[in-house]
Amino acid sequence: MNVVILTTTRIGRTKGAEDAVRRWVDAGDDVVLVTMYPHDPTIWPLASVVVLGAPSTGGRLGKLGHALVRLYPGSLSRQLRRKVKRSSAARAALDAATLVVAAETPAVATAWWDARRHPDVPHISGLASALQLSSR
Amino acid sequence: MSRRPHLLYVAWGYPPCRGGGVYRALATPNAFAAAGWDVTVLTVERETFLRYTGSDEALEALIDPSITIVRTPFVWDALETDVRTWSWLRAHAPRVWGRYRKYRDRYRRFPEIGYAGWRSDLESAASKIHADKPVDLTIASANPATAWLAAWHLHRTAGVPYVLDQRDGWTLDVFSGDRVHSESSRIGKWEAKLLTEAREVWFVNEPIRAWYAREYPALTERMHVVMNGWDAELAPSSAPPTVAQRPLTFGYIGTISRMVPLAEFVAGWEKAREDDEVVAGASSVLRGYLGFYATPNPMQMRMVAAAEKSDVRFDGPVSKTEIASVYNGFDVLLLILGSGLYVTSGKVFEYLATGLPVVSVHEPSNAATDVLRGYPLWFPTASLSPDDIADALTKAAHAALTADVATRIAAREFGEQFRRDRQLDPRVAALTASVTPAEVPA
Repeated sequence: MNVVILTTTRIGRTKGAEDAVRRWVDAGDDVVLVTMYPHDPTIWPLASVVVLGAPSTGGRLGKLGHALVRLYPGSLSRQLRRKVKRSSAARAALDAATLVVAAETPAVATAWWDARRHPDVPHISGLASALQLSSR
Repeated sequence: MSRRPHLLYVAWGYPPCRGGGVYRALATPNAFAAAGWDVTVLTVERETFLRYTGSDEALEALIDPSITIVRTPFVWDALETDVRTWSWLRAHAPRVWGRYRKYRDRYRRFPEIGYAGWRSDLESAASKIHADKPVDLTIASANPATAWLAAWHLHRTAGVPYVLDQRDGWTLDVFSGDRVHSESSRIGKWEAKLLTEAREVWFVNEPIRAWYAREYPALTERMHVVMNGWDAELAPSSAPPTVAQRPLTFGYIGTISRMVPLAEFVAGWEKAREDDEVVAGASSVLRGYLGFYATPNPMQMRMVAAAEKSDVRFDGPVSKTEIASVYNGFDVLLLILGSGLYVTSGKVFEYLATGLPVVSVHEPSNAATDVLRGYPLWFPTASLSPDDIADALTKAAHAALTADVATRIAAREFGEQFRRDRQLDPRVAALTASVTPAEVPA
């Protein structure tokens, strides 16, 4: 199984992420991380890491902007999607995936759009749910 | 020519569901089938449990083969994690979608978020079942309350009498004892309407029945307690009781939810291990699901992980059909329950059937206390303080080593009164007597 994890965060800080990766790899799966922040692939047994580059910050949004982002997390979602579209490595990873996992909410929109291109491939929100679906 | 009476039993959580309430849903239609009724069970499709809540497929083998099962589709939006099925709105603005979903369920369908969407499928299926074979009585079991709408629908459209199995109650918070929905709320109005026209209303314990009797005094005579009991076909232990040997194993079986005072138990366990050499050499095992869904609840995962430092081991869930062998590996049972005057839990009955020492780790005011009072090997904690829990654990440990076979047999005999069939039989007999199936042409 080729598992692609989409994330907008520093995955090393996500609870349960390392355990999830190790359970997939222990079961013989290849895990590719598509992320906005660098992650050393030797720390976890990842097949590869595609680093898309950090998002622009929301520091200048102000109170109203932050309130709107809570309702519509479009900024981060859009940035991830745009970066994935522009990255041939990310697109190649998604084209080869047999399971796509959105590690957190802002990554879901990218998974949703990719699901339109690959409707036969499960696109799952959340690492725990994806582990359960893949019986790992 | 007269025909056998036809019962329509409606429950969301029916095998292969693995939830705590499934045993009641399994036993009730089985009891009516055994009493000579034609029984149709209306529930949701199997995939609901396989995908969302986790399942115990071995339970399906315990369904009376004469029962007809009708399964309807059930979409559980909030737990659907496959993004392919999501709308654009949910994928791009999940909070807006969440609010829209709550609004849609609460105001347009039925005031029960998450389940209200089941209503139309449920009502259509109930109508079809009645058209195919007239229904003489409907029993609809919560949770969810949406299941009652099938009974309500048949009652309104065809005059079919119905029994509401409230179990824990809809408007009562069994942990706090507060009314959670006012009489003037939509839920309050629906509940009053459903209760008023019910032939009978069932509850799992007397404190809940008494609360409802106070709220609806005109309906008191129709309200009955049908305790959960333990299932003879899933008997925890049929082997002759024996005196335990060191090292002892303390065991807990049940869902580990956020209401379970696990941290308090662990504090008491550590204290008991410091103070008593028998407990110091013992081990403690937790068996059950972490939370109510197929994906383990992260908070409960952290709770059991923290408990491992104190030699409290988590060994995962156990199928009900394997329960006897698990109980056989325990010397003392841990009844760790959330606090609340109205909380009984189903596992208390099963514990009583084992004849093993039982340590109650819950507030003395719990409804479970009334069930356990008189059990010869019961060791309740006076409070949830570490000292009191340690004291109860120590007493139970020593009782496990010293209680003779006669005491254990007496304990099992005490548990006999709580067999599930003994809880259901009076209601089955009364309803059988009250329902006369219509004559059908030869």
